[in-house]
Amino acid sequence: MAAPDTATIGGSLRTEFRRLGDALRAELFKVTHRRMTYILLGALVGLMVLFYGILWLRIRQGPDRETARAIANWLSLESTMSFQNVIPYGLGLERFFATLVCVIFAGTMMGNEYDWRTVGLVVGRGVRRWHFIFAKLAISLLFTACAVVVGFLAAMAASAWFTHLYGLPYGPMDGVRLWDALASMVRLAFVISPSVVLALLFAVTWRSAGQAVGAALGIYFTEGIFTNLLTNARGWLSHIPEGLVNFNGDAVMRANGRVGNAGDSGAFIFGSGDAPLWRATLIISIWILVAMVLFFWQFQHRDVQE
Amino acid sequence: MPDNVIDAQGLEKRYGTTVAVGSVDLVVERGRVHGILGPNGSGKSTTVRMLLGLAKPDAGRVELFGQPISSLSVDLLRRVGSVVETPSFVPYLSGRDNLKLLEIYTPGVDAESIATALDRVHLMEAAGRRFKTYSLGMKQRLGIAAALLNDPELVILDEPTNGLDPQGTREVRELIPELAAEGRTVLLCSHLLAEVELVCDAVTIFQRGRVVAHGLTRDLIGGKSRLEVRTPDLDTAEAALRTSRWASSLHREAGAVFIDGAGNDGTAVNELLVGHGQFASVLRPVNQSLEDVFFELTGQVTSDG
Repeated sequence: MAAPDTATIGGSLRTEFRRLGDALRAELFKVTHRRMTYILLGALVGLMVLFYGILWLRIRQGPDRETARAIANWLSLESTMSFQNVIPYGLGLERFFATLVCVIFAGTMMGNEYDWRTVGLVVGRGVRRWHFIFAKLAISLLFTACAVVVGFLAAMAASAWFTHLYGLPYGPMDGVRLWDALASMVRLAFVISPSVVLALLFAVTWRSAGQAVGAALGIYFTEGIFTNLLTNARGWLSHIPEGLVNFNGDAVMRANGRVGNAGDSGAFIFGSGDAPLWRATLIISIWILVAMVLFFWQFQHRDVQE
Repeated sequence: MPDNVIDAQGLEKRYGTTVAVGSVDLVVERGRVHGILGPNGSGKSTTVRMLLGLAKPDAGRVELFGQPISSLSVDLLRRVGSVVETPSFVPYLSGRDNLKLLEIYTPGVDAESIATALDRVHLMEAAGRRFKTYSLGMKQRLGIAAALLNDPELVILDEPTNGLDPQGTREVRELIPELAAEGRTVLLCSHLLAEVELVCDAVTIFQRGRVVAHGLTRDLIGGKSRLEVRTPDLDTAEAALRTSRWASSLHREAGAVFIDGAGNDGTAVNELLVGHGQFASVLRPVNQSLEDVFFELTGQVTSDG
């Protein structure tokens, strides 16, 4: 029989780290053995390619009118799809799809533990609650990073093919651009993170995957609508979006670069937020922190099974 | 080492205005097979959840292995193996991978131990199948394998034979005394009276979130058993007994006097009868089953309530 482990009962720092590592390994084991992980990444790639494909079909039709403005718009749209503009345009496009995928991943990963009642199985075996949810948070953010990279690779592939087809410029291939690409992907992952943490928080609040995903996506979409409405308002109403995630997310994404006149598709992708980068970063960080604190506090203090 | 593996005092759990568990004391001694008996909804599983730290009591305290359980001392739970209600595992993983997952969370078990645990519950053949394809009985078996995986000192089994076929039920009933023989303490929650009577040497009976009786199984049954008295002159014998402390528990039936709750008092009754010149031709305890005791106790509470 297992003898009492007096060294671990003391709870040394080394033991804590080892057990935290165990929780992370266990979570990684679950997500790598889960088909949904790969389906979601596949769906993200599919959506990116599909969107580029639709734009390619649109471009193939040529300008809708023979006016100078329509031709300029058409040329601009063609330019946005070139490899030269893949960082701002591809990542701007990916923001929407990657948020959907990452929220579904995080909400189901945490919520299914309640739906399947497996959370009790783990906590009842002496795994510290905060180890369990720290692992959930870390793996969710890791998945977000993976999704951003995979989605961007899909955008690059689609864009490279399109650029080759139309003989458009690829842009410089140097270290500066590579660094810019990495920094831009980090910005995108950062902008997606509040929705991911919110999905985790809602999963603990309602002990359900479905409600977590629904609520987190609901907030993501409705916030975007309200932001667009309020930004066009006057007076104090117009300042409300400055404290919200979407508006500040737009501002952070603008640091990835602009694509001339991207036409209608550009307006959809680049949004309206135009706050200073430092303030936008600060506000998003505060939202992430608040959601994380509530997530940890709730899981630590509530019954895992009723 | 403390004698009590579980010592819970004054446990209370409320959900809104509903009292799920009210002022429950539960003491489980080391090495015993202790049964928690009660109808569905009597608070058995809620009590187990509080013991395992899955639900926090609104009042009272829980000690495991002589130490209070709290968020800082969850390490104590690494010495416990449990199956709470219907065993739950990750549905897309196989039975073996589910045990492997538990091994990652709480290391110290090798692949051989996983194979041994699966073999012990006769799941080796289905070990590679996804958990979601398992029958209820197979899920129960995997739950038991998981409970035994980390070689626990205390095994908590909540309705372990639920969904098992007669053969499986028999195997679990045989497994429980084996676990006790290996020096483990077993807490068995069940609503199956015969199961508890068969394998448990101590029992706590729950009704509507409260403990209505507890003690050694033999004492509970013996304490509630009747004493059958037959003498050549039954009228004189009854008159003598009417003058004793058993006066209010007497009744006459089918040519004998029965004394309720006096199953263990044969010697004293015999002395009394001899003192009155009566010699018993029959003097024997008529044991009740745990089922009789259970319905007497829970029925009494119902009518009082």
